[in-house]
Amino acid sequence: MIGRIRKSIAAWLFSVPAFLFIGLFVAYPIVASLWMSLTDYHLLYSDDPAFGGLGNYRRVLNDRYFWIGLRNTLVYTAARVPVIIFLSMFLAALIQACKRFGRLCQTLLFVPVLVPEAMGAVVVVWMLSEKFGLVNHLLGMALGTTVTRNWLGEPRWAMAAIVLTSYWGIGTNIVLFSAGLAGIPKSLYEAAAVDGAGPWARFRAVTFPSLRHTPGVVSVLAIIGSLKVFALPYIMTQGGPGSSTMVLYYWVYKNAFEYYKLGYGCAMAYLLGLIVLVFAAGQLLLSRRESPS
Amino acid sequence: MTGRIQQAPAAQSDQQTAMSALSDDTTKSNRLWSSLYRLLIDCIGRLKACPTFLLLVLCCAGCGREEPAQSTTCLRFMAEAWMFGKYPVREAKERFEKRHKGVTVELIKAPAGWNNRLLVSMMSGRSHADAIFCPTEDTIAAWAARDLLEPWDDFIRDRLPDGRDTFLKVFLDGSNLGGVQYGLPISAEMIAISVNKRMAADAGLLDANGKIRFAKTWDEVFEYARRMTIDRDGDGKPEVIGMAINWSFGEGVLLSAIQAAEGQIADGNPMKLRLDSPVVRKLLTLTKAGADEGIVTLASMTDINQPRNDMKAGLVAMIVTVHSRYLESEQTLGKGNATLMPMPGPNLGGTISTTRSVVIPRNSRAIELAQQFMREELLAPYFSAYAMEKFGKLPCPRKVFDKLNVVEAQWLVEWAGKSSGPIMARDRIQMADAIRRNLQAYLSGSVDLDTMLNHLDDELSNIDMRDVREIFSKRKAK
Repeated sequence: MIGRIRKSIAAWLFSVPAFLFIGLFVAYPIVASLWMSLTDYHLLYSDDPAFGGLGNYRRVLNDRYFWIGLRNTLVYTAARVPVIIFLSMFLAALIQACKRFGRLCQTLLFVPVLVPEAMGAVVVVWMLSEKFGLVNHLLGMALGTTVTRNWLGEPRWAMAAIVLTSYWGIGTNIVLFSAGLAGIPKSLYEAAAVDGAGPWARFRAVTFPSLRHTPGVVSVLAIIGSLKVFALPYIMTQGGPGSSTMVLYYWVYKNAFEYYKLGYGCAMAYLLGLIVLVFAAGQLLLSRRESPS
Repeated sequence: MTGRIQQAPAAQSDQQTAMSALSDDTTKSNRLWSSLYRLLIDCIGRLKACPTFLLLVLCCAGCGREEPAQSTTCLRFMAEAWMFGKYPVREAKERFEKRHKGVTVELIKAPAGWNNRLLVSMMSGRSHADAIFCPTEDTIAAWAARDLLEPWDDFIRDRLPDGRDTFLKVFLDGSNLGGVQYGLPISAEMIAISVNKRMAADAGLLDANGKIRFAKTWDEVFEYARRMTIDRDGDGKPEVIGMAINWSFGEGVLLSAIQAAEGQIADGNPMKLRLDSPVVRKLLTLTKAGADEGIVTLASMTDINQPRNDMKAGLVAMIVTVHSRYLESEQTLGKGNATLMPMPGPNLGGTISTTRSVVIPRNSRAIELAQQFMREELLAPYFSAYAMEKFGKLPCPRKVFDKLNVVEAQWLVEWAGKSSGPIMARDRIQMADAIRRNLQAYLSGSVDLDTMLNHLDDELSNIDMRDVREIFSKRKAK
């Protein structure tokens, strides 16, 4: 009995570092920021955080830029997620079908994942430069004229450029789909071929149904990643021109770390967290309902 | 078969040996764990009776505050990385060390995002530098609001023979909050128009002495841009565009235009900016029309460096941004091929300025040395004259101007006299962002001018525009 108690104590003791880590870096910030979101706290001009109830949340809901940020974030998500899913699934299937250079292609498509997104964004900004950019230069060569389009200076093109740059990290999703594809028994394809199914019919009847879980996982990850978008607009456009590429996290960042309104920033971050949670839960429920029991 | 039977005991024996070894290992392992466990329990038991140990751990972990014990031999001087190239910081260090035997000046490059990082760090009582040469008025206000800076008032009164007159007033006032001087300005930037002189000559814009004829109105400025725009092949896409205005710094440009036109940017407290004024409407309408016509580029809306880069590359003839870009452009355009023009208006040359100042943190370990370094090196004419002559950074100490040979420097001093410091509203950064966003929305065609001005007015009414200096005064009175 004493031995068992001792073992149990030992187990708890060995768990202490993990609990400490989680408590310090996860639980405490969550609780502290929740408390902060209920206070009126300006880092420079407030002596102490003063409890303000749900005042910050009410102010956030009346903030024009919160809604603009939410709209832009949803536009970005809607433009990114379906393409990420279908393009990565298509490329993974193509790689699997390609016997000779499949591995090489997979590696090449994965390489951009190793490069930081921020660095990719800087390169794209150069490429889209009005006067010196590669894109205008190539277009000029193709059209036989001087092209001086200010891609990032026009609202609709600026958002399009950010969405296109976000495809940079598609390699991770290709790997996930490749793993899913590798798990499909070959016998299914052989049976379909015997039945006279062509490549498209095989994809529709065998590959896609067998991959049911992978698109679910990829879409949840892509939705969460898209709703959290920050680095690309921050580096490429600083939310401009105007507020055309201002996304929610950028607005949270501005309020909390540039305007020093920590209480307000925390309230906005909580609302954004809630939105992410709702989307992720909805997507998970949907994929569970669709998946066979 | 026999072999197999004969082998069996051996195999069994091996197994037993292995089992025994395993059992020994397990026993050893159990013993080891058991003793470790006992040790742990023992330690915890002792710890209960030993709270000083906990205190020691906390201190080791850096939870204790650093005591700013004063040093008389080592000065830690921090500046932004680019400043090491544009100001003779290393020369200052060498001269100071030579003059004071046994004293060392440690030069530190400010980390990225230094203003917030140092704010948080200083708030938690840590000391990274004894003097910091980075901050603009915004940062000084932020740090001073948390009482993190040592005032310069005694130093100005006791150590500077000319007192406050050592500096140009407009530059010194920017870092004076509630009657306390928190920063000493070294150099200043003002919004002005930098012009490619060769292109201006080709367009017939220079006078008989080879100096640019100053445009008196914004209409004239845009006419200059039209005349300097070059479309060699006549395809409607000019190779050289007449003008680029820095709309990433829209607040600075717009407020400078108002200062040049009206001699005042804001009224009252909380401050009400004079944004719905004729000059603002004129400037924005002309810019939009100019962009449609192809004599103005708007690429600066998302690239703050576009005007200076294009000017240096000879792709833009004129840029409206901080004045020092004119001298920077000479690196590629050639010496004497760039000049300055004032912001047009009845108060010709009136503009807004921002300064780079030296501050001493409260928890500096060498306050005396920092003040001495300031007086002997940073305020010496050689220091800011170098930055002006090489990089166009306008010196703030008055006596430096007598030694300058650059004609533009004299113009800048004259314009500085008609200028205003930055708007020191409590939420100035938020205000600047609101102006920039709304301007860009109009210039990119998302809204018309009246809607934009209404939106901007709405937004500014929700921003705390109280004069930060008054807030400091009230605090001091408390």
